Amino acid sequence: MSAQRIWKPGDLRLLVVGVAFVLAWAGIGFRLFDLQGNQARAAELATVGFDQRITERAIEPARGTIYDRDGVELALTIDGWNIVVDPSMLDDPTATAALLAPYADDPYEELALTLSEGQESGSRYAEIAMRVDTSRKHEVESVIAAYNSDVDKAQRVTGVFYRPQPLRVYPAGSVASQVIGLTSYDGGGGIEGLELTFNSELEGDAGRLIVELDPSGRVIPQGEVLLEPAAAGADIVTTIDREIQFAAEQALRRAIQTTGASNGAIVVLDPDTGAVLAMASYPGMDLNERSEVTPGVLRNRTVADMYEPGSTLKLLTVAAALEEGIVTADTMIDTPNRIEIGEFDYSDHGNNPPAMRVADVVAKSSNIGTIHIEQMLGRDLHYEYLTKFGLGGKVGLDVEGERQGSVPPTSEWTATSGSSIAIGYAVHTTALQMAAVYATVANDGVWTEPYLVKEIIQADGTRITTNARTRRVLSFDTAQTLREMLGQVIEIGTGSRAALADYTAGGKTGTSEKFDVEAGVYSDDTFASFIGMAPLNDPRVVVAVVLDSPHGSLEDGTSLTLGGASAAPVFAEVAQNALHQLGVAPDRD
Amino acid sequence: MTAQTVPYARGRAARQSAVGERRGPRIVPLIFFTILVMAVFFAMIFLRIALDRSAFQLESLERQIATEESLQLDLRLQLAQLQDPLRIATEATRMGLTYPEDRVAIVVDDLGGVLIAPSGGEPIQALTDSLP
Repeated sequence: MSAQRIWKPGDLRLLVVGVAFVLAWAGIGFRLFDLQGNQARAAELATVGFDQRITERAIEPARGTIYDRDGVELALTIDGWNIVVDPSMLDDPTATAALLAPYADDPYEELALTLSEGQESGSRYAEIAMRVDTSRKHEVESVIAAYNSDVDKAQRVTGVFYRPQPLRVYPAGSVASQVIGLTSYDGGGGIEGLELTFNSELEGDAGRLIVELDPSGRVIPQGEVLLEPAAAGADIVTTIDREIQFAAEQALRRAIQTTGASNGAIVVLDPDTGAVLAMASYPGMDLNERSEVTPGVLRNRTVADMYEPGSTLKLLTVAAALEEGIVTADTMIDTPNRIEIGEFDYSDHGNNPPAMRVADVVAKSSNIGTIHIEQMLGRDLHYEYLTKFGLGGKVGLDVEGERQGSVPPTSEWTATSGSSIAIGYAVHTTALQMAAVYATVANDGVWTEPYLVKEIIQADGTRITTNARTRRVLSFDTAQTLREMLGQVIEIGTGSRAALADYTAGGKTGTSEKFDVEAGVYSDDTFASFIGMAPLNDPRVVVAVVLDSPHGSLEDGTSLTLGGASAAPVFAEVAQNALHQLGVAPDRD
Repeated sequence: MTAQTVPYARGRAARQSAVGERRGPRIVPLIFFTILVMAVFFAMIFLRIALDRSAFQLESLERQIATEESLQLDLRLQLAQLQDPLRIATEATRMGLTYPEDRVAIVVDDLGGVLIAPSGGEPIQALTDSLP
């Protein structure tokens, strides 16, 4: 006997719905199997889906800051923006241009044309202002918001965006511009100065952020996220004293305006440590005004320009002879008016007595006397001391473009080489190298490698401190004797205009004729220089001043082509300011 | 004896006979289970919303941090610009300030420094008196 089955209309509907469900699920199942069962296609689709949802964004590292020795910012990076417009979103390009013109890089007419043409061509991207700071961005936002609140919805300005663009700014403007250098216009790496030399330390390492986006491009809060943080760049603490640097630059600018020199350079060193307190070059530029960049304006002339040092190098000849015991300060040296060596005649400026003490040879800057001392010294010892004092090689300063100068080896010396080198010709040096020579005398005979970067502070706080190389070149007694001689240069010699009001000082004048490469002869133009130190008993600063081709004369008729007339007063001004800035007690009534 | 089919129960009586005595004990766990599922469902929604809200708050805080950092950088820049020697020198010149011609130096050994100031200045004397 079988069970009785009674079909009703409701059962049929249930059957239809059930079949529909089964078919639907079967279809979905088939599709799933089709998509995922096929391994190759599944992998491809998974990749496509992943790419649609996932996006990778680079995280730019914060560029490190450059500080002066007191921790004041010389260069830092702040948030900046490029203002971008999507012309296709504009209702009225000309009205938008009128609104944004005060903030755009181009005038109204050009901006209106750009936006109108962009709209007609369907362009969606027009950069109207580059590298604006955050306050400027807020101004633009406020102006647009105010405008939009006064007009109908259809007339509102939309489509204005702000693209992040970090700004490298230089708070001190032109101060130490050649030392600091520049980064590229787009905010990238350094292209000059410390910005270039320490670019790898300053720029840091980029990070990345991988996020999952919704179809509208918004970050899905609980989506897949992978964050690799950017490593910020290291900070650079320089040895530059901003006030001393400023004083040196101002003094150099005035000197060049007064003497008509084509350019010039000043170095201020701390002789005890080798720290460079100031490096001034002229002309300079405001680093925030890139339109001022012209060839040579960012040239750090203290290390990049070589010159024949002239009489300032006589000190080295005398130092070597004293150190070797060949002469003393009181040894009498023959000083006839002229001598002939090889094909050259050497003479002195002015009338000197037929014989002079070594100290007076220095004070009066006698060419003949110095040449005689060099002849007593001999070329081998002479060359040995030239290299001991660091000439002919880079001093190791941490800046791009440093020149090493040239000192010919004794094998290449001619009959006149020793004599010429003794009085500062036939060798090429930088202002910094010569400053280091005098710093050796100031530092009781110990040559100290000049340095510009005091420490590097990495993002994790690790500090890498500079330890300058040192070597003893002269004995304490020799250095002290030389300082007394340098004091006499200012007291009774050629450097009287280098006297400081509040401090004792010593130094040496230098005047070298400039070699005309094209003509192949020495010209009437000169390098006028003065290198000195103060206070004399315990020097705290060494200042080297070099002026390229000064001309004219003082009221008393003294030619400004001479270092004692044009460069010596600059030394006095810079040294006095530096000592005040360092808080050094005056030692002179 | 002939077997007979059980008459087909209809309506309420049929349902009563079908579940019989077991209706009470089976519906309670069902209701409990339903409530539990709904509670879990709503709890998950609530947690998800809470997580999303936290994420948005976190994002907001990060934006705020970025804004504050930007402001701090701007303030550092302004401070450095205010300390610009050229600005100070220009301002001093505009105010008619000049370097003193006649100076006296007071060496303060304990402080290891020196003060240079115009001679005869009362404030300097007051300063030295106040030193230990």
